Amino acid sequence: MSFLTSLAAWQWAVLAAVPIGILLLYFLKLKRQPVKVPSTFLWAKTIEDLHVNSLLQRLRTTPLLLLQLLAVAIAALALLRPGFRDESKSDTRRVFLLDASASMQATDVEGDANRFEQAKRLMGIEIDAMSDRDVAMLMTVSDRADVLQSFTSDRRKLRESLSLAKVTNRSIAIQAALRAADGLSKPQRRSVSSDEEPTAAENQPKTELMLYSDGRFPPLTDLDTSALSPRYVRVGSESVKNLAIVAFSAQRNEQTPGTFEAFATVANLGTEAASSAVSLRMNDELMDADSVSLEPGAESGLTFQLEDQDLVKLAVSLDEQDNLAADNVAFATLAPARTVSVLLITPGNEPLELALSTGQAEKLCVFQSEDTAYLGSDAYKARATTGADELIIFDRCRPESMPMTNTFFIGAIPPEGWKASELSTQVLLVDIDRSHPIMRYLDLFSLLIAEGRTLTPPDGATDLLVAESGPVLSLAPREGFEDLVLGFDILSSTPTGGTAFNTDWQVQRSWPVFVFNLTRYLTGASDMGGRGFHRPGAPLTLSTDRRQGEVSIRSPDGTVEFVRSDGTGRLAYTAKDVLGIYEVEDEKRVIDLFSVNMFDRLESTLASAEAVQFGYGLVAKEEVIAPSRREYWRVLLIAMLGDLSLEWWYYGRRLI
Amino acid sequence: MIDRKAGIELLPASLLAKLERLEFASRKVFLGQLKGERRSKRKGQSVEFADFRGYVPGDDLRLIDWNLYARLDQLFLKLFQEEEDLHLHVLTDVSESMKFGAPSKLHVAKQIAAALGYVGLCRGDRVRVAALGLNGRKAPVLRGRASLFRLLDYLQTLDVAERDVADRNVAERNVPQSDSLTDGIKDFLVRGGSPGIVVLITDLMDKSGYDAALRMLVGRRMDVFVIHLLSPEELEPPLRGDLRLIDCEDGDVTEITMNSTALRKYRETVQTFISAAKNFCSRRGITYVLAKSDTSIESLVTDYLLKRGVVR
Repeated sequence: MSFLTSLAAWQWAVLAAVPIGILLLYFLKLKRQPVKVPSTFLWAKTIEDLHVNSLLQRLRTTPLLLLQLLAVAIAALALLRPGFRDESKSDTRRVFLLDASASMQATDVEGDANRFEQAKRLMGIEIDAMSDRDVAMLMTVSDRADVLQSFTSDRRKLRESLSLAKVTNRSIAIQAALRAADGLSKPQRRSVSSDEEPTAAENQPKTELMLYSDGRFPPLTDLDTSALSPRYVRVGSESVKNLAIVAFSAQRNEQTPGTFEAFATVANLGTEAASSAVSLRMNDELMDADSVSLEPGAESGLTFQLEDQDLVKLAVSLDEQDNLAADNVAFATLAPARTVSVLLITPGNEPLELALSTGQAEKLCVFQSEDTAYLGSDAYKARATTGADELIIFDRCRPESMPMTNTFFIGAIPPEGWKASELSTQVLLVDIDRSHPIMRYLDLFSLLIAEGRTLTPPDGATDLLVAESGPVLSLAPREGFEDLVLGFDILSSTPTGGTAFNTDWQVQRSWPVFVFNLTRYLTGASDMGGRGFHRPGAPLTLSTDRRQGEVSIRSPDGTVEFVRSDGTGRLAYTAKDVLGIYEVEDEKRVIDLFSVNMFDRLESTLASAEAVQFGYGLVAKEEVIAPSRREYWRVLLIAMLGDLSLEWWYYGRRLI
Repeated sequence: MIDRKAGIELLPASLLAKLERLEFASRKVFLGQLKGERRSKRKGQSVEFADFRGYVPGDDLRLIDWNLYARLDQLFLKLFQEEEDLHLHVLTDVSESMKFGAPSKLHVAKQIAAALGYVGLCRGDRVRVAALGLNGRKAPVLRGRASLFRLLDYLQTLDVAERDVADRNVAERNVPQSDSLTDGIKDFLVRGGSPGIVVLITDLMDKSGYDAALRMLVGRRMDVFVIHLLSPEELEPPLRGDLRLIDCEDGDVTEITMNSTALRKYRETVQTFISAAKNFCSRRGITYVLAKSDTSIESLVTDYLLKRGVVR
């Protein structure tokens, strides 16, 4: 027999006051019917006895009171939800891992508001079914893992922690959460010499990992979760409808001053064809609209041209309701023009330097060219760690660790997360992602490339240029920054120590346009004024003119946060989980804008997975069956009704 | 003026004939005042032989037993029982509590008093039917069946409502007054309650107890009959629920939740009360008779009291 309390402590206190109230009402009730009797003399003995032990006498002789108290007692017992577990599991250790990423907001579930609420409900049922000897911990995972409740056998604590769990607009980084769960599930782990007997901890049964998720995360092939026995409780369905805005940006039009263009990419990441009207709002006024109609997997770019203003807040939204609302809206901003800083680290690349020195590029940025030896200097490290430059271009070199800014690698790959194939000759381009702002206005099919590498970017990357053997230009997000990697050199070193052109791109018109595009895109703030976007919860660095004091940042939900400048005009800020446009204010004056968008194809691809991969094993979804726990509160309620009926009958009988 | 009609209500004509054949079964022999139909303690001129005694000069020669003189040659006088009248006191409790019941206990008490009084009158006894308390002082002493209507007239005037008037008079005369049984009996005895039969018709509901009153009567060598009159409502009260019981005599208030347990307890108390009274009376030679007020006066007197030896 186990009990599940349905009330909070204060509610129990109120319930406990009810019988006291009944007793007080019973004993203090003043309305008695006056009756004249010949003499109270004959009642003397009776009354005397009643007076001597009136409390006990009343308790003994007033079935009405007893019936009322019994009704309250039965109600209290029913609220305790007594029941038996059918399964005889005992001493189970469990880690409840709740996916709180953006895809869990999908509404393709029946009976609950969204996948997250359904997962919470199912988890609640599982918690309720725990026996007193079971212990469990509760974690949520989005782009970080949060331990909401450490190992405990207190179901009330687990339920309270579960009620506090909230879904986010963030991506999912489940690997870190699983590692944390794996580590925490070995509570008695300690270093032991190899000849010692296995400790009790090693003999313990595996901790059960209960993952409540839609399975929308990459396969966890290199995960060692030896202490965990994973179970995957799938929420969500395989058939979903979801149109998502996967990219949205705005930039001022250099051809026609006074106007700007907004680019949006809408993808159908659901499993059925969908169409929707697309509305563009500028400063909360509807300015333009378009429509898209896409087959599953297809995507489409939309361009809007609008009159320029000093501070522009743009929002594009899909009018059609689908299973995930968070990716149906995207935001972009245009702030007053501001020059940005670009650091070029190269053994020598004249075409690139020339491209960065064009008239338009000079308006956009100030670039500084350094030799590869600069990578080892303290000056570089200071710039890299503080994010002093909006963009660092690594030409045929790479740093030991990634800088805190956007990067562009030419002929090299970042030290983490990227892979590249061996050099291959004669790279033939087969596909260009023209919808992306970096690739706009480019015609590259006539490009000759002597040799190059195909890239294997990390998850979430966008392939902008694809050759026969694979992508050669990819853009991948990295903790709030973006890395653009070009798989082939522009200039390559010859065995004799000289330089040779690896491609004819630098002599084509598309080269300076490409460099300009990427500079404009990756610096986040161009002379066109388009601000970069940030992901929810991502740390970001803002550049302001204010060197001292603090500025306020107003979130879309209206909250204001004060951020102190580090003395160089840079502000470290962590974006909230709220999508929208954030205003940077200095003494009530808006000095900058930036937007927080989801833009996560992985999260927007909603169809939930049949199975998830943990290490080398594939964990199939489990049928969601409520753990069998026989509860008796219904029986108790019927008993209470019977009790009340009996009381009513007795009361009626007494009055007659 | 005698209200004949009201008197007939108290004592139906059909009952009168039956009553004429009855007499009180007194277990004691008292000294009377006038010659009557009862044996007296005095030796007198009845036909019933009592004793012999030696002749002394001056004795009535008619009483000498000559037959005995012939045999023993000594003069002896034959003594005969004197037959005298009997003093019958019928005392009626007229406290507030007697007002209860349907018909009220007081009405039934008056009927019993009238009936017993008439039995006494028919037997030539000295009958005094009186209420306990102040009303009793106005009670006439009656003899002969012709006094029946005076008796009924007096009984008609008895009512608990009159107490207020009496109270006022008492207050004016600065006489202590009480409703209690003891005080009523004491008042009766102080005013010269001569030895005889006392029939006390009461509900015995006196918070100060009935012991003292009955002991006083017994102490005066009265032949005491207690007719304990209770109404069915007292024996089996039709009360339920949460009640404030108000004592009609002293206004004492008691709150009680009437349920089966309390009722059961009450019944036990009543039975204990009745048996205690019975025991008390039997130990002191008092004839105790329990009468229910819903019994008709005819069956009460000619059947119930007859069977219990009050009359014969």
